[in-house]
Amino acid sequence: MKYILNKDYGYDIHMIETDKFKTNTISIKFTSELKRENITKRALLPSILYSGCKKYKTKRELVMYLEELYDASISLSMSKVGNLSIISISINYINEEYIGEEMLPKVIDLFKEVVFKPLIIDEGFDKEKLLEEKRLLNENIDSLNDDKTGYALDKMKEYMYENEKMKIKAIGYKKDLDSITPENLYEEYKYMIENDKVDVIVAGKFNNLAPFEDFSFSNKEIVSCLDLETKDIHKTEEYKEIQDVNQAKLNIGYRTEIRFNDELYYAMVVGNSLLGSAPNSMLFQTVREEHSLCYYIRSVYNPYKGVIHLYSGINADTYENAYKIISEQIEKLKKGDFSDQLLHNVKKSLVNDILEMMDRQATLISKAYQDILIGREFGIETMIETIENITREDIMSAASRIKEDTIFLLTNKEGE
Amino acid sequence: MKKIVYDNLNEELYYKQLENGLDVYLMPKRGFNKTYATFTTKFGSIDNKLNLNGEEVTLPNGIAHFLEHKLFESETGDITEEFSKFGANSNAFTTYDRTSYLISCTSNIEDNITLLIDFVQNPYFTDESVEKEKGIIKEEIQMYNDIPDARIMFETMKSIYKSHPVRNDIAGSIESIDKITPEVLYECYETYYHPSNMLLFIVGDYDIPKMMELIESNQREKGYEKKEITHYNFDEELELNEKEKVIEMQDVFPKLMLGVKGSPDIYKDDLSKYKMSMMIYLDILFGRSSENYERLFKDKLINYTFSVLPYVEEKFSSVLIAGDSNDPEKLKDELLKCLEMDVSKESFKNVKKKFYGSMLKLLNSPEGIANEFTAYKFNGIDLFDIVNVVENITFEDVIKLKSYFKKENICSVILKTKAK
Repeated sequence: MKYILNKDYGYDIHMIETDKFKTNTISIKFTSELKRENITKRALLPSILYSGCKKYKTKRELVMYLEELYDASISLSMSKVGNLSIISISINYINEEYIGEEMLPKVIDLFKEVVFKPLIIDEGFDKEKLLEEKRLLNENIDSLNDDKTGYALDKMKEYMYENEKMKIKAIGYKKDLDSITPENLYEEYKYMIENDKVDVIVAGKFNNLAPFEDFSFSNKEIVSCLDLETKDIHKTEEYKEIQDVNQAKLNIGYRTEIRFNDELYYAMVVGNSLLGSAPNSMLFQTVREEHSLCYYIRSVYNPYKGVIHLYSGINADTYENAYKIISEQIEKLKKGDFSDQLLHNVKKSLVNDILEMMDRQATLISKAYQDILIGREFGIETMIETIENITREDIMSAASRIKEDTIFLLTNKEGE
Repeated sequence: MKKIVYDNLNEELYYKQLENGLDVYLMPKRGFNKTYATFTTKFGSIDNKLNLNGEEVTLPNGIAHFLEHKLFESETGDITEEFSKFGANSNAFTTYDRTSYLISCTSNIEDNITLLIDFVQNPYFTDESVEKEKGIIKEEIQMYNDIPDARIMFETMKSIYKSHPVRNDIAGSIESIDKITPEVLYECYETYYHPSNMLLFIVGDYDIPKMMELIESNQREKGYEKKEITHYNFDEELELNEKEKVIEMQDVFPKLMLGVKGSPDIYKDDLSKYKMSMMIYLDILFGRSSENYERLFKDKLINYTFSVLPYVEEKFSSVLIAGDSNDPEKLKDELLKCLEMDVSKESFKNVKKKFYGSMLKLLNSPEGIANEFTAYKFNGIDLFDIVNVVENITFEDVIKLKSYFKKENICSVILKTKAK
């Protein structure tokens, strides 16, 4: 596997060359600053582009063409990372050697049709199509309640980040939909094409790159991906909601202020893994295995913002006990009270995850994109070495910065 | 050791049945960091009986899944922890027809494979540990009860089947797992975890002959003798258990699931051809490039959650058609109409290209390969051969399947929000 930054075509192509896959993936990312004002429009852009372009007027026509290309798949999505909103368009297609016909020119052409030649009528997108995409977005938002785990996590974030842009929901907002017109959405599209930073990342085996010449992008600068907003914590905020659920959900948000650019970043990665994200983390061992209080418990570290989100599904009766054990584990982490063996296992597991990331095209591409955002080299050797050298003291320093911010409990009991 | 070459897929597979009956499949994936292995027994939630010295014993529902959880505990502690010493991720899952133990790792490959085999072949159950596990599994059952998609699926299986054990939830119920004891776990274990009932699949970039030797010598030392395992079939009438049902949950997006009841008798002789034909038929009827899919979208009756799940298995058959919908009643009427339509030959055009493409895509994923291979093998089908099976399927083969979808064999479950 080889990483090459190709500048032959007037823009950057980040190429990950490997012949271990049966397919090639090409991904184009449009990145801009995350803003509440245009988030719903940006959430709609991928869907409206997918819904029809000049050449493939309907989703059905597009899908039929993809099937003709041996079931190539296209995915369009919007997500947020730290300070940024990213519109990704990717095509994954069968490597030419299996089908004996040239695919790259067709795929590049398909990108051009879908991304640059949308169906436009009188300076606006198609009205009917926009209505349909609004309906789908609406239903998608409504169905979020079905997933109680996600619902409880979202609620916790709403409370914790009440005055921060972190609370912006990438899925979009129902209340924005009425004000979105075919015309103002088209404006948003043009703004994206003209002003977003564009990154082209490809993974697979490419014999002839000439078709890439057909794209023209200019290199643009963008704000940092790091979200530096924060607040002073005076005391932990606690919220509770009662619903007719069988299993209660306990979520806790912590601030660490340790971001990618902090020298304690890798120590926090290892520390969080010890606490609650490795297969045999301290939380898993105690809350689930020792005390049988939950089926799942996990902590996720977000290094763009420097926060940790902990989520668990527990029995409603045992909330207090579960909370007590969780807090004890955090204290233990701060005191360095964990075994050498566990530390060793956790590091091995992190190294394993990094290596496994290189075995999937999708994760290769997200890694390459993250490297671009934070200005890190593509290689994994330094990452692995740094993780292996993290000491107990490093972890204690990182853990000392964990501060409990917000607790959210979704339960079926009125309680105390 | 037999080498099987799949030219059109540029893959090869090594196979050996060991003296004790264990089927071992080794597949090289050059350039991959990860080795992925599954060790699977043909023992799932539907296997609710066992033959104990000639006597038929009925098992508590959910026992296969319970056993899966319990095997992760050894006399010295937790197996997950043992694996994490070698940097491996371990997990397991139980389906209707099998229980699979899986690991993925990028180092200590031989240690990890040995540990995988040894822990599955070394049960350790005590009264105390079984009681404790009940707490964890109860939480798991509760969690699934809160997931609307899981609820509607289990409810539909109950509507379709009168007595077939596939109607029971995979994890069992809070009452049924209460009956589980170490004794009954050992009885199940002795029967269904015999190597003659199991399949080991390892995919990755490792030394194949050396691996086979390691596995063989590991198995030889344990002194198992090959034996026949009794698998029970289940009688089930073609008549539905319940035709229509509405269930309620709090704050849920309305959903519909149709269950179509079939019988494995219709394809006894040619399961693989029937299974593939069914997938093609449903794809033509409801796939993303179908007319129906487009129209149902336009009529605001479905969204991207719409999905179709066919079960064409050795021991049972049904087709589930489901999705979120703001008007589940109307969607139901429309779907029933679709099932009466004739499909056009035009739509058959790209089917083979598409299958070949999706098979190649699957081959990017070690997890996909091992899990799908095992699932197909337990139904007597070679996964890598289905491209050829599809190649030989004609449009006429496919349209015959319309007769599967008789009105009297279709039931519906609607999930709605509970009024406050």
